Amino acid sequence: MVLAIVFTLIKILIIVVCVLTGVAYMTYAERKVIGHMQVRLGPVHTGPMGLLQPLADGLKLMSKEDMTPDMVDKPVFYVAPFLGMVPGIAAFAVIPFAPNIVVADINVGVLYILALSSVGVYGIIMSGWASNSKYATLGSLRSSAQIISYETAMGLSILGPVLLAGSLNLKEITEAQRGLWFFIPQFVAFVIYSISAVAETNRAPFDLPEAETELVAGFHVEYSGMRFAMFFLGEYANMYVVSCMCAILFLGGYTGPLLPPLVWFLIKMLAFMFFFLWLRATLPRLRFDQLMNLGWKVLIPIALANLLITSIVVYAIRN
Amino acid sequence: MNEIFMNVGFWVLGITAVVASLFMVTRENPVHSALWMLLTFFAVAGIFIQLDAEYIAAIQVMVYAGAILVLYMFVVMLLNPKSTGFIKVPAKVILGSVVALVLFLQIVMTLMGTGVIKSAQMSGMNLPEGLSNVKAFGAVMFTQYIVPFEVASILLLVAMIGAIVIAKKD
Amino acid sequence: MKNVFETIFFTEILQGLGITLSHMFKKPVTYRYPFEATPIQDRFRGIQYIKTHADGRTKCVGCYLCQKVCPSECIHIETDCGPNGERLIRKYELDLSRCIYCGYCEEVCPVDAIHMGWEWNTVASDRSGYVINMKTLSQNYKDNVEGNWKNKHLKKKLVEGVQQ
Repeated sequence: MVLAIVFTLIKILIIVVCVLTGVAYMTYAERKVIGHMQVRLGPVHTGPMGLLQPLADGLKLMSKEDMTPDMVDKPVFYVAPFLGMVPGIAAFAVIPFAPNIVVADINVGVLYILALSSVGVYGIIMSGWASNSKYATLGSLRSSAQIISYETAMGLSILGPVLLAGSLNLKEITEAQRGLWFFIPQFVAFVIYSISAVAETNRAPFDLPEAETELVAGFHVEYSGMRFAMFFLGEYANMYVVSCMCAILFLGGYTGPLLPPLVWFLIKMLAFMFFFLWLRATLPRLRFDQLMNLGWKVLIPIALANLLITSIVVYAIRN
Repeated sequence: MNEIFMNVGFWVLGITAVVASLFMVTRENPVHSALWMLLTFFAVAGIFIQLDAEYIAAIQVMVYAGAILVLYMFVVMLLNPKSTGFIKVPAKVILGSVVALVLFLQIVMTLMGTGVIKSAQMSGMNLPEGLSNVKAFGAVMFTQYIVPFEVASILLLVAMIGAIVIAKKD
Repeated sequence: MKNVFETIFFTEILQGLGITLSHMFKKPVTYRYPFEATPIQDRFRGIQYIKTHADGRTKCVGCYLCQKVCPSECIHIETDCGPNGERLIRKYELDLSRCIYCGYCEEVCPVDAIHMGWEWNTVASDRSGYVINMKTLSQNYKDNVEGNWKNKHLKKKLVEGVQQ
């Protein structure tokens, strides 16, 4: 019993460390990839090829002064960054990186992740409200409206693979894709999921909450130092979560020939992460009404139609 | 060993839920109330997980914490209602207490009548053979309780159409 | 019909993605300046030099035209009468902290003495080195001819340009 608890704790520790390192190096990859896409170099000076840049950034953020503006709602202001970060990291608990590398193999893995991503919005709302600044409030309102809208489309598109696999357990969904990866029969859902995943994580071209030109920086404008870093950690951890979900639901998770399962999983996940950066380097930002139109009038109806057709087909085949 | 853990977990979650809901009704700032309510939801979801009702727990967090409370927060943040604290308005307090007391007694009577309290214990429910939590839930929902389920969905549909009609009427 | 096709399959977005992806494999155009040379064109206007005759005497005759034409008044000349009635240049000072590198002095010089060079790094920790005199300017000519650059970023081929 005690041994099992210790073992689980070690597992959790390893995954958290890996996630935080991954997050740090994602910022590096982002600057490098976008730099090269703009025919620049990206960071090169800190360490060989700039590989120590995340470390330098982290040290800078930690040693910065932690400022609290005068008129903020202090308790809420202090709690918000944690609420922004914790759901992103907690979601890794159910993700099967390989057949035997998973912290908690629970039956409602998909729902667990959806629930956590819907809780993630509180960090944003609370920081925006507690900051007592019009930019932060506007940013957080935009962000939460966007997340709530796109979560519907995302949930509906996730249901396609869930129906095909007949399970909410992420491992069973992965195993169901031994023959055929779900992004072929569920291509529409795959496209909808990709779009709403980008919107859900507030990334370009849907990064309205952080529109630098109009909102300064959105909901985290009043934060500095480590608290600011926590929002960043949360955002990138969320990107990893949606990438993992994409790999599991549509790209067959850890299944694949020749290479070990963990490598397959990482390849698929990082490919989707690259897609995030690629989109950011390519597309301009949408206007807010365009964003809402796309979410409610295009993605949700298509996702509903896809769900209907999928369930009819699944019903016809199963019986 | 396991039972001790379960019991400790239940007491922690239960006390959190009760204390958080007490804080929720006594805060003067409506946003703080909403945030305490969030904590209550989480504690209740934790209790559901202890009862092996993980589906209900996930839905609890997703729907109540993730959707409904966010809408509350929106309204509270945008309208910014000025609360003077409910303790300063005695008439309303008396009315509220009476209603709450009546409701509480009704709930207690119902619970006593069905005998849930006697049979309640900290253990998972017995699932039918070969069915996981979600499947069992779905099977019951769409066979035994299909009519109430559909009626509830029609109710929601009516409410939604009503909201759209009100919003469209400029 | 074509429009519908384009909307459904996001052809334009895919085109854009293709462009960014192809750019990713191009060679970056960045010059890592303090560590790497930036290219300098032949007609670049850097720190001035004044040509000398073969025996080392300056070509400058002290006509004051460059001082007159200089828009930022950075050239200061003093001349004197020599024993045989020739003009001696007592002082020829050029203030690099004022110079805007417009090249008017080079254009106006009647004897082809003052020229814009290729050296450009004037940064120093105090201002004393900014005012340069005839000696430095002549030395600059020598350095330019010999390719004896202070900052190693200048390429050797520019030497040919000086000699012409």
